[in-house]
Amino acid sequence: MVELVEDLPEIRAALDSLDALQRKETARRVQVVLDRLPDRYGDALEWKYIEGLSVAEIAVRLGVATKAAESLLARARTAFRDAFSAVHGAGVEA
Amino acid sequence: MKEDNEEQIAALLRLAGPRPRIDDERTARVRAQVHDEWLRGVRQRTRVRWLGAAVAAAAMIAAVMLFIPRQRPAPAAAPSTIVAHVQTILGTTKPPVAMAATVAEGTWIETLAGSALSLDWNGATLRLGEQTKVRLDSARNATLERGTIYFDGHQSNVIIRTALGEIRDIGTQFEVRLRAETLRVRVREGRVDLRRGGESFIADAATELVAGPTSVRKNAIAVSGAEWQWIEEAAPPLRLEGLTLHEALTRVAREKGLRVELRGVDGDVRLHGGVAFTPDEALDAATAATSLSWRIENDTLIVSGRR
Repeated sequence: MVELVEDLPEIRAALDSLDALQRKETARRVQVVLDRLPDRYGDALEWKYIEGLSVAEIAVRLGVATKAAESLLARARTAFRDAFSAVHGAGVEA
Repeated sequence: MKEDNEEQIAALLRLAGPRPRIDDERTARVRAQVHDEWLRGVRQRTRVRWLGAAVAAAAMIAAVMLFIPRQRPAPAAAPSTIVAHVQTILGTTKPPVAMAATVAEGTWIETLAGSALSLDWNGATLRLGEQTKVRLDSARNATLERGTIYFDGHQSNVIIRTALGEIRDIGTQFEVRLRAETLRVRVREGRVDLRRGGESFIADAATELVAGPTSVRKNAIAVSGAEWQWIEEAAPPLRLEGLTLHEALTRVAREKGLRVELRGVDGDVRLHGGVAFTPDEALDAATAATSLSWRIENDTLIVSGRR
């Protein structure tokens, strides 16, 4: 289990999901969010966190400098976090 | 981005695993069509943002020259009154304008081919379709030289002047298109009054007036659908944060010319999220986040629980 913090309750709640159905639904939503990001953001996040590529390797794939790839990854994480929070975290204050 | 957030994102992505890869031409075609349509609004805004950054200096100069009272030696020069500000830019305008730029009364704005613009005009929305030239004469009056505009506001007594007549609204949503010798006024909500040559022609919701140099005729029209699509595309970004579900759906529906009907749904549920959405994206996000489904029937956006 990943250690979580208080500042992103939506993500924490998602990772605390207990059963397979919930995990499957969360996985689907993650993929939906990735699809809705700009192409390079989604690809870069997958390469980094699923395929385990280094920033330098991602830079080569993107055809940009390592520094630019770092910046792109930072923007991609922010975009992913915001989009995921919007899709997953809405709707509990009645 | 803090490192611990990165770990959470990494964990989520690992949980999801790689997205299915496009493995044949058919899948690619379908996905591209759906995906591109969905993302079009976002990308247009993204392009505009980057373009805006790239030409910031030029835009700033243009904005200063056009929207700020010029420095004149005469001390008695009256400052221009700001009557609008820019909400959305798609493509190119003449003169170039920046997001959130203010527009002074008397300013002409023109959109080029494939472009559109949304202005907050004294609290109402004024949208310019492509190849449109408009002058904002005041907070309530505008002159349309050519092209298509859309007005959405609850204030009354707005007047749009054209070569073929004057359009006065009565708290409404309407579109005015002026091309060559034809003026068309389509009303989505409320009522407008076309005046010319001492005559008055009234158009109610779901009707249009088509005026030529010598005649005016009235037709029934649909208040939603493909002909209104450009308005939705030029809509300012919608953020869900803090809105109730009903408020969010009402805003989306208004852009689409629809009524909202909730079936067994708590409309007071409050939404979160700072992402700027197009109307379609907002609809998807709001309903996905609350496990609801939606459909459109007879100009009504029906939202209900999933079974």
